[in-house]
Amino acid sequence: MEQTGRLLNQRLISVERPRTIVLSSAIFVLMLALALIGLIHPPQNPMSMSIMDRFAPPSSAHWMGTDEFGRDIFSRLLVALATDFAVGFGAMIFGWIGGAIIGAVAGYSGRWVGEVLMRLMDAAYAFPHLVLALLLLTVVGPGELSAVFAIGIFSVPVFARLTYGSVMEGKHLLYVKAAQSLGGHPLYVLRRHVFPHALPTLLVQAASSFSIAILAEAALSFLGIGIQPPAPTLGGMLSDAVNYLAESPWMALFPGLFLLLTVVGATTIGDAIEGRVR
Amino acid sequence: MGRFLIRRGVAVISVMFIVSVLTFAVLQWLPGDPAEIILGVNASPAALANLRATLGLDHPWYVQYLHWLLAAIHGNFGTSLVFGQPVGELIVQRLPVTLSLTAMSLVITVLVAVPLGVIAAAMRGGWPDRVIRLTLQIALGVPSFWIGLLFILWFAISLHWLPVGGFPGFRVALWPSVQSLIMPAISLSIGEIAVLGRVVRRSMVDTLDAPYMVTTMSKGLQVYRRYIRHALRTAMIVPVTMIGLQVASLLGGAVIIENVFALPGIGRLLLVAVQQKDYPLLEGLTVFIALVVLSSSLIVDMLYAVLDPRIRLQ
Repeated sequence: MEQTGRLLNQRLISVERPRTIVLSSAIFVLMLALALIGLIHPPQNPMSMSIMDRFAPPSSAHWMGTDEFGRDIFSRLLVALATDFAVGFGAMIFGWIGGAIIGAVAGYSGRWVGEVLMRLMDAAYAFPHLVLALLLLTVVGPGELSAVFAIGIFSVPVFARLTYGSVMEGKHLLYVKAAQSLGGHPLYVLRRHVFPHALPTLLVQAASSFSIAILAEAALSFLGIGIQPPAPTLGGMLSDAVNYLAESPWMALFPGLFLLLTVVGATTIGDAIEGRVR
Repeated sequence: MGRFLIRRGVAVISVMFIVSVLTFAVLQWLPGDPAEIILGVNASPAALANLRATLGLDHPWYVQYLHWLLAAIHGNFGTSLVFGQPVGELIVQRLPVTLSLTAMSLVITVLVAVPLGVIAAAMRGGWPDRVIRLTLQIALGVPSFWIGLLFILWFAISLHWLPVGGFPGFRVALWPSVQSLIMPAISLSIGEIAVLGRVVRRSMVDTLDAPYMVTTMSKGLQVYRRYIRHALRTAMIVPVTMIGLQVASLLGGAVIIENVFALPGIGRLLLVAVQQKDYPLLEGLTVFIALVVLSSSLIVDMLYAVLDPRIRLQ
């Protein structure tokens, strides 16, 4: 019956064309490459100041010009990208592992424990994550690890829900039951059978959480919380740009643009995976 | 319906309780003696001891928590260390700005996202659908504070159409106040439009594929509007409940946007409290925000039950 409905609608269901996937992957890989360059060997020292060269417009010496201290914006951008990538990955992995543990525990405990745990996760998830991160950072103090922790924490509920769902679903799969009846230890069953089944969904969520984490980190460093200056961060550079909007507007453009490209790349890849899974 | 409400009510209260205990406990364990913070490090030991007694700091922590809880129920969240005013008063003062901002954003979001989603769903696969989906995809990744800055650059600094920031106050100057909210509201909405738009589109697509839509077509409901009306009412159930959840998201976004545009709202208050370690204010704000979020999710659940009879019968 549903097939009839779709046919009658006279439109093809649009499938992600390979072109979109390739393009977005290329963007993401480009950003990743830039981040790696920033990590390993930025073209110029991101910290070296030169008062004489302040606010220089883009030139061959400084590809994106200089900031208020004469520091090369392009190099700072690359290092900032690297830092934010690191925090984004770190937070995502933290959320994944934390969520997986909670979700698996909830799934394998009794029904009641699982439900209560999931309710708690839902409540935690509803709380605005930026506010949560701000509060956590007040308690834990500034720094890169703190940022990873504070941002990772709000990915935990999502991954917990996903893992719990997969475990509950997996319990009913025939090959899982078979493995269990053959005496498989729960951890083995999880690793060998449930996890591969859940992998695509987890990957999609990973892309999404990564994007959220990067945006959150940028917001936090924009507000001056989390990673402290003079370490360059995309949010921090935007925050500096606010003070000099009139003098050098391009300082505001590039950090945000890089942020946008990275996030769009990541989410499109996630969507593409989701499209394939369905 | 009544039993549903009671269950949810109990859930809300228990979560609020947990939140209050957690907030209180965490802030108790933080280094720093509130008496010292208020009086300064060089105050005499006698004065410090005196203040501690007055603040009730020499009682065991559970007694302090009880005192705090009783006060909180009466709306007394203590006095802000930074502003010297009662926390409750501060929150109430700043609330209208944040509420206006959030309301404006919500309206913009709905007015833009719903038509976009519906059009994309109705023209599935065609170029309007692809363009809309691409736009929403990009909008999802736009950092709200960045686009806010670009708006300021363009509309305020270049064109002088709108103010750079600040908020005169509705009673002082109505139209300029609204003007100062336009750019912030739009910046805030962009991300939400992306989310809501996709939800609307997906929901509409699912509805349009349902068997009963075939019936409407075979009934000869040629009028496109009726077609949309039948599908739309069912399709809107999920997005409407989504809107309730977006309130929490908007609140979080407001924290940044208020700081970009220098709007004196709850978001600014929160940032100042975090930067200056104003613990009473932080406690009050946390509880307040938790309350808002829980209420909106409660309303969302109720709305969902009202709109979709199948939920009620569970």
